[in-house]
Amino acid sequence: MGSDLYEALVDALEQGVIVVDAAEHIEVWNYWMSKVSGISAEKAVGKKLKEVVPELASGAAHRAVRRALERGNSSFLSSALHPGQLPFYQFTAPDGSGSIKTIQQSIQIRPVSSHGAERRCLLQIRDVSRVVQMEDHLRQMSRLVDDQRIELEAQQAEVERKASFDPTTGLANRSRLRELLAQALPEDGTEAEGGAILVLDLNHFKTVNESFGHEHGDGILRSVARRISEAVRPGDLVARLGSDEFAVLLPGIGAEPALAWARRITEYLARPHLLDEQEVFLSASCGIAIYPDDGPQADLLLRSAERALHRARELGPSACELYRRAVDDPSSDMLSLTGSLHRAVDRQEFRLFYQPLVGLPSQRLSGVEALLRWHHPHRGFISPAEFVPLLEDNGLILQVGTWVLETACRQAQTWLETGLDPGKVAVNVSPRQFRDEGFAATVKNVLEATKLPPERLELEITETLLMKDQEQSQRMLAELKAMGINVAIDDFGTGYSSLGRLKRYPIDTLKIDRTFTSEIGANEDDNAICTTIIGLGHLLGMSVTAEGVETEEQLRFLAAHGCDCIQGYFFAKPMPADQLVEWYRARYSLSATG
Amino acid sequence: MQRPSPNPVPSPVPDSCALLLKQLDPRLLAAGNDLSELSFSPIEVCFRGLEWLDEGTLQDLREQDGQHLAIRQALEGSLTGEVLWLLKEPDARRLVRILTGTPPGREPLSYSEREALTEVGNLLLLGLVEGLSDVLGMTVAATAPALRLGSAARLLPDEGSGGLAMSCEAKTGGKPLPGHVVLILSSLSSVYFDRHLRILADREGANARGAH
Repeated sequence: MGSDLYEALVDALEQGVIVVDAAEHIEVWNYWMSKVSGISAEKAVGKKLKEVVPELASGAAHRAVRRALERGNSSFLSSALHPGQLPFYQFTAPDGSGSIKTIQQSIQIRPVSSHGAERRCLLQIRDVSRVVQMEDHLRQMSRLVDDQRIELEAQQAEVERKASFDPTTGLANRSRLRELLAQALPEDGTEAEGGAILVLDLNHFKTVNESFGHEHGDGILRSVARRISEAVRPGDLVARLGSDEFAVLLPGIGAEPALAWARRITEYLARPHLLDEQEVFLSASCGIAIYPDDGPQADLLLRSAERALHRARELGPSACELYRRAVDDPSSDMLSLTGSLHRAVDRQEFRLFYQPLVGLPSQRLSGVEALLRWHHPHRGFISPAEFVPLLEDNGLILQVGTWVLETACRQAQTWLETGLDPGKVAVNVSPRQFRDEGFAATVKNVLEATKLPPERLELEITETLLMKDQEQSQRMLAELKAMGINVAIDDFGTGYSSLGRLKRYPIDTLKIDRTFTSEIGANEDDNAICTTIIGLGHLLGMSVTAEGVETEEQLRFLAAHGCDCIQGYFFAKPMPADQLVEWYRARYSLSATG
Repeated sequence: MQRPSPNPVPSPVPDSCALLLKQLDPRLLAAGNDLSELSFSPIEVCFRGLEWLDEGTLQDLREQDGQHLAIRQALEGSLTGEVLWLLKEPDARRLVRILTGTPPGREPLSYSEREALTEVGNLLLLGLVEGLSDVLGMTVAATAPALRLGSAARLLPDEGSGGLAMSCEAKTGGKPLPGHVVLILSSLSSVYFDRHLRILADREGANARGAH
């Protein structure tokens, strides 16, 4: 390699290169060294190292140079270990900013030998400032990310805590209890360890709350939470399920010990609670379910415990009841009915009957009302008045209500397709259904699935329900009306309605309750009520249907006062779908099929 | 560099090892002095227990748990092979915190800290290499040091090699800092080294007899 090329290459290096001979005379001083030190190669080359860079000619650096020259060993000098001892270089940064750049350096000192020539020493000086700066920057960034991660984790933990714990008492909430129950009741077929779930309900807590105010009520709830937690074993889970409902998960125990624990807890709760130096007396009822026998899944088990609680409430204050005993107790009619209801859903024991609605004055079929019937395998038909409230209580109404809606719409569409025009099909909507946020979507899905035109469907809701949560009612009615569905107020006259508010709702039909129609002709007041409702309905642009019409006199009276539609035994009682076809054929002499 | 072959030296010479350590001692002390000159808390270095590493012992070293750090230098001249200083990562971290005065932390070692450790390891290894050269009358030079991080198994040469190792305890701020200096020689160098070791032992024996 030619000398010029060699020099050019050395000058092109982005690091300092100094070569000294055995006597430490500088032989090579590259451009980088000139740049950072301000000493040109012409001035440095030929001089002794200690004259040009005195720092490298003493101490550790010099020993390293000697090692290289005398023994052929390589050394390394780090600026981190020699602050102020290595050459200190500053130069104007090449970025045009005019800033002075201090070089942080590391130096490698190694021997260089060429064949036949004496050993020399090569000093490579590297500027590591940028690496160090970059690393510092990265460390700062990393710390920042770490800080943010820690903060996020803390926030997430707080969210999880809030999602799993009741803020008033600090106990686990229903969701957390269900999680733990789900763990205790594995769904993968492995055998559950077994245990008990206790559901406790404070008797008359509402009264306490009203007497002392909500703030004090919360204080009592905290006191109750503390008492229960103190009464159970370490490791048992205590949860707050709702306003005055608590639960205790007792793993690893059977029915009798669970009953003993329940009594211990209720007795402990019955002792006076001190609130602002006042003694407050409470009692609690307790329902007990044993897992996995009383419910193989968390929801079912909780439901069993709640049913047992229901029975315990009937038995008196501070009563504790096992689910199994409550179910086996023949006097627990309600419980057995509730249990049967669950089975009824699975076994499809529900039926729909249809009662014709006859238009006036034409006396043509203007619609049918779908009515739910339950045929109990042993007790026969059970009155809706008996089982519908139970369906409401345990939430099954949502499932059953959807089935009613779908079955009625499908039947109406089948009739339409087979040439029988049933007019509108009216379906009763329960309060729980109507308050369910997904109800409008359910109706929409049913109409789409059954292909029944929306104007053929009439949903019947009670006036009491409508007046309860007016904002929600208005929103739900608007959604239903937007679909083109008719809305009727059922049992009108029995509840309390604000006419002003009624006017604001998009109602199509008022249905006069049977209590008024049944007395037509016999009671002047009822005559007046019926005529007023008819007049009011028309005034508000609604049609009026009279329920429970059983006599010709009632029919004539209602027809004379402009009632639009009649429903009742005078024309037909509720009947299964196939009988309705026959009734229709017989009454209107048509050859409808289906 | 030639890869050392398994167990290159016919048999360990414990007496020779002890003798070598005894002779190395003053030179290693000199290396310790070099370290003490650095502008941080003085490091006292004490090499001891020089022993021949058979396969089993080397394997034990390899199987040490956790992250390690090694400063390694290749050997050139009369002996070829490599020499390295092996430290457990927490010990290396402790040392570097004392060296640079940075507060203790869990962050990875910084560039400057790695460089500081490299220089310390360099001085320590050069003490040994120069000591061996002088005691055995050989010309051995060490190349530029390199720092590596990893498991002991990854940092130490492959299984099957033999070598010379001494436990090396450096003390910083009065606290011991355990580590190992390991010398792995190529096959030929091992034979050559063994021969020099025996000559050394013979010479010592003769000197002792002469003295009597």
